Amino acid sequence: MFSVFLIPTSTGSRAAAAAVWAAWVAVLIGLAAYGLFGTRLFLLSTLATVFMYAVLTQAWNLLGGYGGYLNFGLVTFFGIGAYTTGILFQYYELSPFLTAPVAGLVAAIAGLLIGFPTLRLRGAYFALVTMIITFAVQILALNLTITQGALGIYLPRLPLSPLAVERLFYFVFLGLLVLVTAVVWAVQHSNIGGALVAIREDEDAAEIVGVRTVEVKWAVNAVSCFIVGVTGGLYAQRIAYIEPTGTFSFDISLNVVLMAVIGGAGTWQGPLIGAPVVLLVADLLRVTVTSEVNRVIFSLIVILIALFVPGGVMGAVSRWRRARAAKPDDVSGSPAP
Amino acid sequence: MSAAGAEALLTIDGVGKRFGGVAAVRDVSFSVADRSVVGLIGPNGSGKTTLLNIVNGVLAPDRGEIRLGGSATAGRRPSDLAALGLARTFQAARVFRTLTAMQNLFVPLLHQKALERRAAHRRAFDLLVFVGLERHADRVASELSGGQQRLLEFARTLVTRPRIVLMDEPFAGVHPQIKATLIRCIRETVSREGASFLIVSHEVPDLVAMSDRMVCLVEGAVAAWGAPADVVQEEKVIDGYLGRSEEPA
Repeated sequence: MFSVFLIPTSTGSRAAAAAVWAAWVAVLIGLAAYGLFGTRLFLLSTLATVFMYAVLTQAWNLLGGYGGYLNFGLVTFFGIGAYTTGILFQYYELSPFLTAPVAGLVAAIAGLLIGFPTLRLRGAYFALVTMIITFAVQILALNLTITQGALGIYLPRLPLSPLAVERLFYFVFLGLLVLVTAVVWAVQHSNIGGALVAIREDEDAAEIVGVRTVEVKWAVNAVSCFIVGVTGGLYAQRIAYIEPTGTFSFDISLNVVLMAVIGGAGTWQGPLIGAPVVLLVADLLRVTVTSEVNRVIFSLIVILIALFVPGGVMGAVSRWRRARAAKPDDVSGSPAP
Repeated sequence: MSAAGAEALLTIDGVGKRFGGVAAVRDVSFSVADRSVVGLIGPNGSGKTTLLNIVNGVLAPDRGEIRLGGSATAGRRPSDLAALGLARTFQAARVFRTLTAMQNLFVPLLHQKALERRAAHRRAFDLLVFVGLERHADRVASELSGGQQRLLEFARTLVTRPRIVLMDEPFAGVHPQIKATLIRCIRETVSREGASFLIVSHEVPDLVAMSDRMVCLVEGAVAAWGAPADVVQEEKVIDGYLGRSEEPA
């Protein structure tokens, strides 16, 4: 059905590209070293949360960033993943570490089913419907026997010290982040990434040039939901208790969208920048400005970024790169409007 | 007027389309033979673009039938028709603006069966050379001039080796140099790759020079169909579209 391959590019110098890759590897080594030797529980826990959100944002990025389909209901699949591992433990005593892939599969199937009707919608209609579906699934979780309603499901605490537990999840989510980032990088540099961008920019033209737009959206949405479901399944083990209000919290969807937009939606680096910026700034404000004023300040920062840094941090970086690389053009005509 | 014979690649037979009370296309029939160029002319609002939209599956006709390579196109999505070998350009170039020129050419290749990466890259790069954009392979499309975007869009239609290309006003508002490049590329594509073209344009002399057949629509209906030199002499075409040059007093 798909003939996917990487698209060769020769933008920029090899030395500059090597320097950027070296910087990313250095950051990764630094994070791995901190995970091994760091002893501050709060920092390990916060970074594990940052990694988890970065994974979710990368997953959202596939259809939301590249494809332009603003999914405000990502938490639906996160919750489905969490409840899958929760229920499988509750009834079969299976460890969430073993059942996380199953959680991903269930979320992907849910994504396909929900995607059949919703991915035919565009723009604000799609965003609204994804939001409404979250609330509907949350109400289901509140009322179904299998989910134990508002009581929720308890999972076993791991027989480790709190520091060891956080260290474990630090590496679980960091590993997942590296894996998912590699997938997103490959998508960005392949013709399926090109097709997604084409869908974002002009879906009708994409269809006319031969992209089976509906099938591409379904497939990419299923992959995205799989990643989110796996993450939700692991999250359930991390917090050891899931209930509908927190697990299907709209805040999670909103945070993910913010992280993508601030870091740079439609780039593999965006979520890696957006997740820490949003979480750490929000945490910093919560600690330093002790009242609801911190939320106002945070909102102002987001509005200012949206106004003055369109495309997020990576958008600014790419504009700077293009300006630096701009050369006089000898072919007639000026850039089209 | 009868539809085409058995050798026709594209046959349009009795096609009609209404938008509310307006009959945009009325009982239109003509054909495009293999390895040929057909010019489609007519005044603004005569249904030319609507007809192209019907042919490539964007609009469904109210009546009539279209056959592409012997297969009826009814009920097929534009991407299905693209897979059958139909490609299209638009009145205003619709390139994917944040993708590079090279990436633009890779988009239609997503569903090409068993396409090898190196072969795809070679095909895409050769096409950029063909239209003279090879130096811009890694530039994002939004940075290209309007004429270059039109060349890129044209190259994108060819990447899947289509059997027929529909072109909507390809010469409108472009630099003469770009227009000459487009005409050269169309001619070479017909002779080298055996593709056919259905070209909508108001540049009648150019179209007469490059077309094998020509059709003129006036008020949604076919006013004339045949050899280009004959079509432009038809009374209906002169009255309904070209007009008469005023006699000196």
